[in-house]
Amino acid sequence: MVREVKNTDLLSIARTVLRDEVLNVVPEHKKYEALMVANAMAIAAREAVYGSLAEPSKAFLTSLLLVSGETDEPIENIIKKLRLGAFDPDNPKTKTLHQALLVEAERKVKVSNLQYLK
Amino acid sequence: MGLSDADQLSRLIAYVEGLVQSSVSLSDLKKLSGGAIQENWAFDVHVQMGKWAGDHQWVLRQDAASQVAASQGRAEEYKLLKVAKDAGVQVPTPISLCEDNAVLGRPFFLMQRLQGTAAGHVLTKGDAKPKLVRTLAQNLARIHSIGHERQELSFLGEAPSNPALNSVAQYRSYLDAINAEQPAIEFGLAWLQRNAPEPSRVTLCHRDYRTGNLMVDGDNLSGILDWEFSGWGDPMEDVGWICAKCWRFRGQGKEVGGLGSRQDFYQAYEQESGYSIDPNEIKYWEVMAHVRWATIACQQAARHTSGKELSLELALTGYVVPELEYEILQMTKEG
Repeated sequence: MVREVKNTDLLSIARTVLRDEVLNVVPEHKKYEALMVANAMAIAAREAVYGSLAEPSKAFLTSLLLVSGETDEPIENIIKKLRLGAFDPDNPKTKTLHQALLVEAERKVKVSNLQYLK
Repeated sequence: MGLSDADQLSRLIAYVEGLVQSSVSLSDLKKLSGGAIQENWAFDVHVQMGKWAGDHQWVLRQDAASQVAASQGRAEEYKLLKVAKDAGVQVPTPISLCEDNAVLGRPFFLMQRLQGTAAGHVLTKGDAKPKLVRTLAQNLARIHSIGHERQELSFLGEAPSNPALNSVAQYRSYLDAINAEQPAIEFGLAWLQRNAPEPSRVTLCHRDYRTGNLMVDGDNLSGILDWEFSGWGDPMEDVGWICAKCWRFRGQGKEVGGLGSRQDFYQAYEQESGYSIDPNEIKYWEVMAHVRWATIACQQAARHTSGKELSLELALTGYVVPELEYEILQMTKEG
């Protein structure tokens, strides 16, 4: 049976062709657009591995629920409390919140710009 | 569309002929890149006779189809350029403002075209540029010498009593307007609210004074571009903006815009302005810089995701947000 091509493999080979075979014949005034296309393809491939940027991870949402002490709407409730000044340095939950936000930010940077963390 | 349209081009030629009182020829017309908020066109003008007789290199700057909140229109930006020029700031010489929509459909102005490049990835390659960094500091100090009593800048509105807190409220409202739920940015905003400094003075601020908006020829500054975000504020906001990590491009070790050292910049600024710089206050404004850029990036992405303006460039701008969030969280770690 022929093995099906995964979407990440497809994006990877398409990007290689664009970069190695197409980019050098693209007219100068369209190079910027071509590089943006290559970048978008790389992001889409990483999104398939690390999860969507549009959807927060389940672990992140669970952490927010624990910190907020609410049972639903984790992001909305955290934002409400942040705006009310609930998370000052004296609040022991502030560190937990900060750590959860940092872990989620790292996950998203792996998708958007993997080089940034290196 | 735009100036590539023959009708628009002939209306522009007629406008320029009226301005210089002579017949003219336009050549080498090209659209410049990097216009999410405005469109820029470069062209050469040959004027047959009169006081403008000769060859000129100009840029036409026009509103783009849609705007970002807080950006000035072209008429306002033209007035800002004139005031800055009078204050000794190196800017492209403003030539003429046209607010008659019958000419090109939207207001535009003409200004001198400067030599050099503004490309961040080019300017930040290689060694530090101490002379350029000092010139940038001197120019910024001159911008900050412009006080909010200036009548010709009355369109900028009242100066805020606390620019930092004013910005916090503004960025929350921008996020609300696009229904953006961004807890990391909000964490930064809460930190900024808690730590807001009292301003020592409120002056004109460029509010986008960074690599990418500076035209540089060799190691020399040709001029400061892109005045569309200018307004009254805490002058240290501009210093924090150009020092912020997010504007260093390839020059991460060079803390002022990827171009050179803080020491050169701070010294030259203090000498020109007579005001001292508190490095702790600049750190505050660097957090603000990341929060502000993240908010603007959300707005740009929303222009795409709303379906009103499908654009790969706008969509990709949304992908800058995670690294900005990451920096905001690194900088606001407490205890």
